[in-house]
Amino acid sequence: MGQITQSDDQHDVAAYDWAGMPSGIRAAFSLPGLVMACSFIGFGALIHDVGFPLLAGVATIPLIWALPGQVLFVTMWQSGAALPVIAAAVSLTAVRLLPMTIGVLAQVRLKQAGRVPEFLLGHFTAVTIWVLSLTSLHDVSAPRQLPWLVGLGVALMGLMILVVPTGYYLAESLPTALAAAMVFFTPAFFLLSLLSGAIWRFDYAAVFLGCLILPIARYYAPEFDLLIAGVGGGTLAFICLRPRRKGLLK
Amino acid sequence: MNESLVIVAAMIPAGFAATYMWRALAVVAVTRIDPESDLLLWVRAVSTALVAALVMRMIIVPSGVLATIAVEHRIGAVAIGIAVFYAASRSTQVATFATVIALVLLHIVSG
Repeated sequence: MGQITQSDDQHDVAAYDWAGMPSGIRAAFSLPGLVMACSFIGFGALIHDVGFPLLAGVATIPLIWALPGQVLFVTMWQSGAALPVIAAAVSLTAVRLLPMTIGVLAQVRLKQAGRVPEFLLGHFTAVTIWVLSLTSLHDVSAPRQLPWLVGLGVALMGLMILVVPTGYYLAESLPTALAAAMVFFTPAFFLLSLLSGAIWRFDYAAVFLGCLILPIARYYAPEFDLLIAGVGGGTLAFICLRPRRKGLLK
Repeated sequence: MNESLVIVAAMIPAGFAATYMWRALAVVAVTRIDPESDLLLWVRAVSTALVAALVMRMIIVPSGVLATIAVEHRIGAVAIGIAVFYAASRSTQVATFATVIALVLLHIVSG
């Protein structure tokens, strides 16, 4: 993953070139964008399924913009969890955005430019943008890279806002098996993204332990099942298999 | 409409702030933090396990329409999806579609 290929003098330019936005917008219409759209159709079907209001479901897109957090918020809200518990769980799934955002910014930020555009790109950074930043930025000049990703983020967000109501209403009219299939897009995409993003053995251990502990935690403490499985499984994986060979994220 | 407004009001601290704080922290930290420090690796493990647990919960105790599909079909579809993932040179896209198609086929075949 040696993606930091631009010479440093290119990144010493003092201003972003926002003419990079349109081609970023076009990049939203790609295979990763299509898979994302299917997951969000599934999310639309899911909110219909659990009886969450459509308007509030659409509001999770610009406000949270990270599907695991959105699914957690919706399902925990519907199960009547307390707001601080919801906030803690949503926040814990969002921690993964910290190293992800650092990784994306380290590639595209201009050292001499203002920081405000970085806070803007930070809001759009999520799995799909991270993946595309690793694979699609080679032909984009340094001052255009951050605007390119912002354009991609704006376009994806707009598309998903259109796609979620589609899933919501499709879930109403489709036969049960097909509606179930749409809902299933979300867990399938999450699990496979975890496997795809796994680098170290402890990544795989964290996936396995999270799955294993969840039913046990659910049996003893249903309201905290996700927190117990996440913090417990993750910590156990980290303690047992802490990576010694680093330098793989850069 | 009113219900949505109440939820959105709750979503601003418990959804937006809870999520954006990490993105903002990343912007502040990008000039000085090592993405492979032990703290961030632990964080990575916890968030991975948490998402895995969320997937597991959606598979074994689904609500609504997914509950109409037998549990062995839900688990079987995921197993097929993982197999396809490794067979198709780790393509998330191909394997995601394969998982969903497998779920429908398992359900139809068993009547």
